Amino acid sequence: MSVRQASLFVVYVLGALLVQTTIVPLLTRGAFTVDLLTIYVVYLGMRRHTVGAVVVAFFVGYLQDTISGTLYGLNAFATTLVYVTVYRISRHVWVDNAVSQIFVVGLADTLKHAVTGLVLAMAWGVERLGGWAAVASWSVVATGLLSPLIFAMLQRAEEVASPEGD
Amino acid sequence: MWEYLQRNRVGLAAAVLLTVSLLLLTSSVRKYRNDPVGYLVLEALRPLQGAVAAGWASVRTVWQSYIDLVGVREENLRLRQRLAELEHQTLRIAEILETDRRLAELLKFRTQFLGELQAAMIIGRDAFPAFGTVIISKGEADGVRKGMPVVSAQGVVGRILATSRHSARVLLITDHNSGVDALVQRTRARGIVVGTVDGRCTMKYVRREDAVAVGDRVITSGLDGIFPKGLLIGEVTQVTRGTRGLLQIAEVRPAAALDQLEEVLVLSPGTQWRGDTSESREDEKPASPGL
Repeated sequence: MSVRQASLFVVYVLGALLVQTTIVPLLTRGAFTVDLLTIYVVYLGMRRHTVGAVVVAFFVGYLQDTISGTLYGLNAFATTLVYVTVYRISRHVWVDNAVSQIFVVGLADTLKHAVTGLVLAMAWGVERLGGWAAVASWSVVATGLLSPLIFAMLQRAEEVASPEGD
Repeated sequence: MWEYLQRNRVGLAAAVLLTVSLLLLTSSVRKYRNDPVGYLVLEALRPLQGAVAAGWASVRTVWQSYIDLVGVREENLRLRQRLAELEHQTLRIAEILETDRRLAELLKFRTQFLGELQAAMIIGRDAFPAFGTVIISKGEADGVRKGMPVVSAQGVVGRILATSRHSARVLLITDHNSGVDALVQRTRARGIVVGTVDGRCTMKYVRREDAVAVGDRVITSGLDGIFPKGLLIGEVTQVTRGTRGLLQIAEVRPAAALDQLEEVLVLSPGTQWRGDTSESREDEKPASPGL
C-alpha cells in the first residue's frame, strides 16, 4: 500500500465515520443508517486479496467500535467476517457490475447486522433488540443501493492515488 | 508447511484477527474501557462533526423558517376562512335574534286584536320610488282580500291594493293615492292622512280652529270602514296654518318604519283593536279603549 493509498484509506474512513455519525442520522432520524464502512470492506474483499486488506478491514471495524456502542471488537469482528466472506465469494463469482455489487454489499451488510445482532442478543438479551430487524433491513437496502456509487468513487480515487504503473 | 501458510495467509490472518476481535469483545462485555485510539478518533472527528452540525443547524434553521413561513401562511389563510365563517354565523345569529324579536313583538301585538289576522312577510317592494307599495307573502289562498288593512307592531302600514293566489300588494300610507281617516289623539281633531309623492304623510282637512301641535299622535278614527279605531298612524312633526282659509295641514311622520318593515299583520274585516294593556307599551298607547 502506497502512501497515497494509505491517505485515501484514512480520508475515506474518517469521511465515512463523519457522515455516518452526523449527516445520515440527521437525515434518516435514526430510522436506518447507510453503512459506508461496510461498503469499503466489501470493496476491499472484492479487489484486494492481501493480508493488509484483512488488517484494514479489521481496523475499519475497530475504528467504528471506538465511536460506536460499548462493545469493543463487535464491529471489528463483523467487518473481518464480512471481508472473509466477500473474499471467498469473489474468488468464485464474478462480481464487478452494479447489480452484483448491490447484491454482495446487501448480503455483506446483512451478515454484519446478523452478527452484531446475534452478539448483542447474547450480551443483552433478545428482548432489548426490539425494532432491530426493521432498522437493519432498511439499512441493508440503503447501503446496497448506494454501493455502486461508492464503488465508482473509490475506484476513481484509487486510480488517482495509485503510483504510475501500479 | 510454509507453502500452506503462504497460500492461506489471508484466511489465517482473518482467523487471527477474528480471534483478537472476540477477545476484545469478551473483555469489553465485562468492562468498558476508554481506548486511546477512540480518543484520537474522537479528537480527529470533533471539529468536522462540529462544522457539520453547525452547517446542518443553519440549513435546518433556514428550512424550518421557510416551513414555518409556509405554515404561517396556511394557518393565516385557514384562520381567515374560519373568521369569515364565524362572521357569517354571527350575522346569521344576529339576524335570527332580530327576527325573533320582531316576531315576538308582532305576536304580542297580534293578541291585542279581536278578529282574524294573517301574519305575512314583505317579500318585495315597489320598483318605482314614487309609488309606495310592497308585496307580501300572503294572498287569496290565505284569506287576504283587497281593501284589508295592514298594520305592524309600530302602527298602520297601509291596505291591500291587489291580490293574487299566494301574494298581495299593499298600498302604504305614504303613497300619494292613500287616504286614512284619522284623529289627533289629544284633541280629537279629525282629518285625512294622505301620502305624498316624496313618501311622506300629511293630515289634511283639519279644521283651522282645531288644536294640533307638533308631537301630537295621530290615530285611526275607524270611520273609513277600513282600519279599526285607535291604531297609531304617526306623530305630527309640523303644522301649517295659513292666514286665510278654513283648514290647516299637519305633517305626520308614520309610526311604522315603512322602508324597514319585514313582517306585517293583515286584519280581516270586522277586526277590532282592544288596545295595548302591557306596561312596556304604556307610554306608546295610542288611544284608550273607550275611543
